Amino acid sequence: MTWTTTAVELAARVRGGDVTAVELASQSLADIAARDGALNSVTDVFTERALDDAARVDRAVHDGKDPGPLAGVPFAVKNLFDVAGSRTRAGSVIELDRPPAATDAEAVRRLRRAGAIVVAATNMDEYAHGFTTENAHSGTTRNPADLRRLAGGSSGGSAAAVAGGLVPLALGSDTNGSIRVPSSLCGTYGLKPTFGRVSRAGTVLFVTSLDHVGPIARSSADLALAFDALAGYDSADPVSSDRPGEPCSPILGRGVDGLRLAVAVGHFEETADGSAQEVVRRAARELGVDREVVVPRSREACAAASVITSAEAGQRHLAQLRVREADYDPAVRPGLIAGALLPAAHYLAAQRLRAEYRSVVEDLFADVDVLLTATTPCSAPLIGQRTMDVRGEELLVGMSMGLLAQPWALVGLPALSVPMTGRDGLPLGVQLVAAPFREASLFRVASTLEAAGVAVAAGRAV
Amino acid sequence: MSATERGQDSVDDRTDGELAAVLTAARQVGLAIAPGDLAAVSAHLSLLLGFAAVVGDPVPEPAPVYRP
Repeated sequence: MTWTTTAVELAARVRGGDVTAVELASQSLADIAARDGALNSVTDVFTERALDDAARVDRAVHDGKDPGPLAGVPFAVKNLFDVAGSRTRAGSVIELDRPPAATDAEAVRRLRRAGAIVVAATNMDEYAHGFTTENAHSGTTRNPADLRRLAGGSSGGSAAAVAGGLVPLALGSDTNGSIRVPSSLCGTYGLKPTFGRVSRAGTVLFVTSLDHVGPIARSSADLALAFDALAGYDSADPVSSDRPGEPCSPILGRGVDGLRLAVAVGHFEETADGSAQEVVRRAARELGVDREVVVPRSREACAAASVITSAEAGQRHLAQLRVREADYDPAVRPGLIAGALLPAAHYLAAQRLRAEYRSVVEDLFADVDVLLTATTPCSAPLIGQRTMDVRGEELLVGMSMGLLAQPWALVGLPALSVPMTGRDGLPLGVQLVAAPFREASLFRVASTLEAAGVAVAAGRAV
Repeated sequence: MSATERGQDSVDDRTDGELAAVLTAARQVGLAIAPGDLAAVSAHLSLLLGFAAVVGDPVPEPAPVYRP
């Protein structure tokens, strides 16, 4: 086994008896112990539990039972997912005062049911509030492609652990781009599914009306396999959808014939630097796309997403801020307090804008199946870099990395970041966006780009 | 994109009036802001009000609860 072996290959080897799940879990845990010092992507390891779960998978193989499509595949979770028997950090020291989780988060349970083995929890911005994974309590996660650079956030530990070859698969959450941004900067595939498609039960929520859960992987096939295991109704999540979804693994390799593809311009071009625009053009050329569309009001959509995020997060934390203010990350605390002070009129106006923007994109996707944009305005900034230059504009790194991802989260559309390489040799994602519940279309495009060698997961064994 | 939208409003640009208003608003919801945080909270609030200005005043329908 090498660090680039995919989850699909690993599961096939476990099912075929070529390697045991215990060997894979042990290897992943050993890799984390030996190599994560350079990345700081992992905050917790679940050694005993992982080896017990792996032994159970091996017994199933030995007994001739179906161990599941992800048999023996090690995976990590952003540390806001409950893992039974462990304390759920959510990037905070306050959460460590709570008792260990009694049960697994639903997403963890579903991956385990598919045979996967949870081996570790990963670093994140405190309470998912940020795009950089710079955490006052657990340190900064570094980018495997260049250790001087940010991994992005807030699911930066998950993306870095996958890109760095510590695990082939990880779970993240995405409110304004927190799966897609680190996937773009680290060079992994990352999916924010349709709102309500994957259960958030057993996760520490950040913004109830915007939070999504999804997978990060090094191939489109791995991402699809994980998504198919995760998707589906869960009565424990009040926004869970009972609409049946189309499995995505079977449609990989089907190509893009018949799909109506277009490149999003306007806001999505103006907020991407030359390198980010170039990767989109490269993907479009490969796919034969020459159509461009403007998505009206996307700039207002970003503003509305920021207002809703701050207001909901501020209210969620208000009671705790009254008594534990000093225990918050100093970089996160002022934003949460400001959100708690925001007049309700602005929140309601942002929700109305959200409904209007939803109509805009519904009209758009009546005529388009998949839109292409850059995932992030630029490649990974240096750790400590405060601003970034995007087409002559100086933007704050901590505020602006999600400007291309936010509009789609605001209206719950599925969006998949495909790993490519920018002019500077650093990873840079192309974002694919579809109508609600059309994840299968995203996977057809992603797997086409991957098969053509245009999309390649980055990272290195550190 | 305005400076406020870009998030460039500096903590150093806060006026005494803005800081006092933030303190008063915080007290009204039971928050005591540490002196070292006051300017940062004010800058964040200014940024959010800038976003609110970009959102503007959409058609005044009742606020929907988002469902997929």
